[in-house]
Amino acid sequence: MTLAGAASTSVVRPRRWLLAAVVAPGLALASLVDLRAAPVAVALAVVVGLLQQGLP
Amino acid sequence: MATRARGTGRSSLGVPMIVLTATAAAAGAAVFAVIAAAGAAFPSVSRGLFAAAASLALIAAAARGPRPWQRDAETPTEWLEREGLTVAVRNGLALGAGFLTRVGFWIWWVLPVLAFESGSVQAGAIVGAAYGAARLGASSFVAARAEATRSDRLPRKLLLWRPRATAAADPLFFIASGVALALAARLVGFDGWR
Repeated sequence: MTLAGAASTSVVRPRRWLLAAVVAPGLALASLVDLRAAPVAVALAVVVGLLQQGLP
Repeated sequence: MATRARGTGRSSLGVPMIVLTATAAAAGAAVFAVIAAAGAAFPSVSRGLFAAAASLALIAAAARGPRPWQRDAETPTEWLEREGLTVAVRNGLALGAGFLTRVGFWIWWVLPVLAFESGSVQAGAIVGAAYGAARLGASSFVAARAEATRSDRLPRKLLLWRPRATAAADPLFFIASGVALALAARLVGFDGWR
């Protein structure tokens, strides 16, 4: 592996793992507010549907 | 797609777009109702354990890379060679079901987890219908508006927003997974963090 390749993998992986820490606000939100699965799923379904615009 | 679905004899895009959106909503409703029915078949503790395991597996997989689990398939070209409402029906069903073509983002996978957790066939059907209608309804609206105004301003504007939306998809996935995980813990009976 080239130096540039090694540098890029060492940068990308920690970032991706750090991103996973964003699970915590979701956990806290659903724990502190009395969220129900169905309304959350409906709101998320609309967001996902809109996000997928233009997917081939 | 809607243009092909219109066929040669019709002038309005309205009918194919309504058919496209309605079939997508119906397909989504059917798929997610089945998933929710599967959830309903389990007592809440096992449902919560399954959902927690699925959420953790998703979080671990998404933390490893941005490419989601998906069937890497496009709309079959032979469908696009046909004209008429059959195109709208087939595409609506395939895209509304979600997993039959590319899902594009990890966040799609949180939907079946939440539908499973709900344990309500009715809720699952509403989730799926909302997904299918949003996915195909939005693109139909944009296409109809572009044709009505004879301007591609709106599609161009949306294209400019696309990179920002794509960048937001992953953080949103992890937040939504956190919500799914907390809801699973509640199903299991864990309420210790209140």
